[in-house]
Amino acid sequence: MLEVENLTITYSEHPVLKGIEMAFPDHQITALIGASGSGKSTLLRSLNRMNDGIASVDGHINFHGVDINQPNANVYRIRQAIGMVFQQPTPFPMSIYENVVYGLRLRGEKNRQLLDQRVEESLRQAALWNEVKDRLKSPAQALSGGQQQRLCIARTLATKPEIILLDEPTSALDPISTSQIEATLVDLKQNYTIIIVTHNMQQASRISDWTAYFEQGQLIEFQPTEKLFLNPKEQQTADYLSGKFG
Amino acid sequence: MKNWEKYLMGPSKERTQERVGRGITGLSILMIGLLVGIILLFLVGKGSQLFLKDGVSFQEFIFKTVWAPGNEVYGAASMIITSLLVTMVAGLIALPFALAVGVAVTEILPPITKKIIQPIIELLVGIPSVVYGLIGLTVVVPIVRQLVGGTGFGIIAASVVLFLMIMPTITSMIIDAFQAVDQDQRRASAGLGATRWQTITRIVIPAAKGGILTALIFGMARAFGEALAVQMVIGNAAIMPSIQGSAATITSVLTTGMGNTILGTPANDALWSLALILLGMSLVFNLLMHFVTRKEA
Repeated sequence: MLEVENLTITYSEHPVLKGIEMAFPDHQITALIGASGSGKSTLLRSLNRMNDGIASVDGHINFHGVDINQPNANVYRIRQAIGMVFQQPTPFPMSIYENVVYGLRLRGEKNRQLLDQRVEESLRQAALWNEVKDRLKSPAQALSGGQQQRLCIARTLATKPEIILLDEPTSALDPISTSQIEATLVDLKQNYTIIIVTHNMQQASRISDWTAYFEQGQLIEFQPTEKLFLNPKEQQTADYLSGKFG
Repeated sequence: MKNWEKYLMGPSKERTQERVGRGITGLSILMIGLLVGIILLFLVGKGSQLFLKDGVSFQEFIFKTVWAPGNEVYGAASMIITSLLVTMVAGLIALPFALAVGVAVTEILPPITKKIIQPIIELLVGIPSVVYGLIGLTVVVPIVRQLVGGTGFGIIAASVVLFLMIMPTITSMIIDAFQAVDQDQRRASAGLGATRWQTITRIVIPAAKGGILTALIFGMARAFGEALAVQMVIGNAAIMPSIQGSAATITSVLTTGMGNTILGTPANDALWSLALILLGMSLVFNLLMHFVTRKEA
């Protein structure tokens, strides 16, 4: 569904990703790992064009066979089909309900029944429904950090994307909230393709099916998670995993 | 052997510094409090003379529209209405312009333009009001004369001059309010497929609502209290405002009248009562601002 072909990304003349080739497996969790500055977050952000106007992209990112960087590609539809959850929880200053339906309202959806149904469905999928069902009208910013992040996941799910990108979604959260979000993600992979950037190698090994290791803008190794962690093919990967680097 | 009792309990340089510092700040606060208190007392005392000593009723003062100190008739309603009117008009014209500039500077134009525009706006904020009055006199009044007839002096010219004067203040505060909106919010909105316009109208402006309202109230408070620039272009006739004719605000009557009345006469007391109303209004503006910012937090 999503493939990257010979992708090079440059920030003001300075290449941060060089010649990346990879195909993200459908309905699996792919973890992108590597040291800071390895280019993994840049790759993630370019997958739904969040780098527009910041970095220049060479090569192809194909979604259902369509290059999403074509000049006349509809960036708004791309972002609704490939949603993103950020590092810091970003609840909008409105009610829980309005947060979840934000993406739908952007498209002009007015059908009350459909909105209600999508709110329940998305909040259930994000494992937040039971905690907030009685206070959907209260401000989202009153939720705890972990709840806010699950709300952001629900908000992304509400527009029915096919792919969910997560940029270190638990690095600002406590361990209990982190494990709740991890459990949520594992449940979600039945219906969605998930790509997650994480600095936490235990997290990558706990939840992902595939792991890609990046170093200095290059994809060093892309393997099923178990294989990459237990029996890495490349010496650089082994060094990173054992803490000799990074 | 060190005498710990004396060392720990005795005087030291730090203690003296602390005590002196606390003394100076305490004294300053006391002085400010005293000053405000004295001004309040003085104004209330002087402002109530008209009602207590000169036998003018408060209702008459507030609701009657005839202001004729020569005949001992003191109805300030026309000035109160004119003051409110020019303030509201100036604020309501300034708001959309200020919002537009704010959106352009923080959301649309490249960051370099902000570096150019912000100092210009701050410069405009610092221009003395007499300069705005002069511009009003030489540019605005003739244009109004051309367009609506009459002498050109009046509430239209006054509103325009006030609009020019408070617009930089409001714009500057709105830019700050927009900048206070977390960049992550904009990114999250874009990540859900929002266009820039949708992000501005649905996220940035609602999130900055408190700041926008505060800016508007602050600008209107400034307009309400402005005397000089208004006095130069409004024509100074203490009658009910009309489109073409001259009018007068509370402040312009105060500045034109203060030098021409004798202390202790009813005509002078009436001016003090006007000043009391001004004070009351700035209190209202202040409370409004507190209310808006409190609600935000």
